[in-house]
Amino acid sequence: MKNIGFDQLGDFLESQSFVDWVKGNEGSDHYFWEQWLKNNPQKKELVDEAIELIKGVEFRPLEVSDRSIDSALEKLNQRIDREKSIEETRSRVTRVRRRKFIGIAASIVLLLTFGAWFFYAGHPEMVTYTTGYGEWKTITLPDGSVVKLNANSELQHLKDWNKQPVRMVWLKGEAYFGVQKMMDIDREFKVITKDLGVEVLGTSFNVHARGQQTQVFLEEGKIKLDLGDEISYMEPGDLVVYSGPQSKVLDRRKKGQVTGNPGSWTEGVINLKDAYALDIFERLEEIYGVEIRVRNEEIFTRQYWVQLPMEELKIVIPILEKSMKVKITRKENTLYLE
Amino acid sequence: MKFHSDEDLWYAFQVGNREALDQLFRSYYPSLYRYGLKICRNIHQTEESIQDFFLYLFEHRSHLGKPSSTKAYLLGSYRRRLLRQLQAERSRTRIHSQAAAEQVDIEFSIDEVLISDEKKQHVNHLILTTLNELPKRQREVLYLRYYQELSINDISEILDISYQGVVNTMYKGMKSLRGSEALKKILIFISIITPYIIS
Repeated sequence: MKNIGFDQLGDFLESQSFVDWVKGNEGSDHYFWEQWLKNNPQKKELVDEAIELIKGVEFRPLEVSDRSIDSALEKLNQRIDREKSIEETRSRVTRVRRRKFIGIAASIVLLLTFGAWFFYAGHPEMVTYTTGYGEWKTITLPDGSVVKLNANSELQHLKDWNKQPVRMVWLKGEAYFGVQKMMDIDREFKVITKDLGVEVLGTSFNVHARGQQTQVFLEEGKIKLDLGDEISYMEPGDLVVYSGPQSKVLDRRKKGQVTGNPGSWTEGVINLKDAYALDIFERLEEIYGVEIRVRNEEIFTRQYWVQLPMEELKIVIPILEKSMKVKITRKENTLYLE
Repeated sequence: MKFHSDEDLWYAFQVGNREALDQLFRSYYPSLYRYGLKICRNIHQTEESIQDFFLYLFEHRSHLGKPSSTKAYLLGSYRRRLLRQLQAERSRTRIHSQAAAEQVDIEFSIDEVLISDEKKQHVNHLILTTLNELPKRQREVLYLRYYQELSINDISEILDISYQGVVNTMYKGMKSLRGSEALKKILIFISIITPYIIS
């Protein structure tokens, strides 16, 4: 029981001791409040108002039976399960359709890829480049190819890379590749993510490998995608999203159907056009390692066009506020959107 | 398995625990149902909208905030969704309601006004009439406070008005109600003496 303040109506309403006294609850500080009122006659009006509000109106709420709750819950669970099974059926259909692509060549590529993955993964003779949250690096590989490594990413290759028949790199996160074409021989360049392999001779493309999927966007040249049991070719401007765990293509777009430019971050801007809030948040979480919390979920229903500079978070926040028309409060590693 | 604190429950729900979803649903279904029915006055629509709401919550669970009060969070976002839905329906059917979409028009029924004494039934009718004639905002604040038994902070979150705003609205509503109780006393007096006057 606090004996301070009590200048506002709210002070009384929030005091459990006062509420107990008004309601005549057992063990209430009866004596205290009688004395207090005697000593503070000027507060009588305020106290009367508070008593009024505590007594309030008595209601008898509508009965909601356990049976009706059970049946509503069962319905909800069925709906959630149904949505899930639709998802699974879709992926099964894609898999069946893809069978016709399977060929011996693909199997060999697959074997080589995964064989190499397992073989080299255990060896320490690797060169590793990493970027932290909010950090970007430009790497020049021994063959002159340039890799721009986005924040929170890792790129690895073998130490004696130049001696290998295939120029192989491993990627976690996101990178933009400007691959040099080798003059003498067609030495293949290959990017491997946990979902897929990208094979090229000389070209520019963006690989985004995070979460449960890898997205490849081809800017120029031609590339071959090794999707495990499918080989797919991409033309400039094409975009493919593939999930390893589900072994299915989640999204495939031709030139012109791609909104924004997935490679734009290399010019210092993340350009997300007609993007849903979830996609924007995912990008920010990847790049800055922040957690995003939303108070008004209306944000999820709208589409936004945001162009964010690749800068420190404190520079990005006000721009995001303006383009999404939200208010952002930052507490350590969490952004609260309102 | 039962989650003991709202915080644990919410955390488990956010990581996709189905038992947490069940518990969350069971705990808050009655409150949401009562509120929904008051807002849209349609049993079928109330049931459907709660289904949609929970499906939405489940699908977006990892991106939802961590509410300071689960009840206020659920009632508040459910209220917004349902109002938006009602507004969309209105514009589809081209019935342009004068009322702003933000206004919830809660109507109490006689069964909900507590009758402690059968003889005082007409008093309850009077309270009911006065309640239902209060401005909409006051009615909703009184509903949330005394029917749903929410704290002032929770109400301020649900309706997106300040703490003091809630207190003031509550007070105005209660004052009107008590004012009518004075009237009620006069009416009781009249009803007692009327037979004598007539005879």
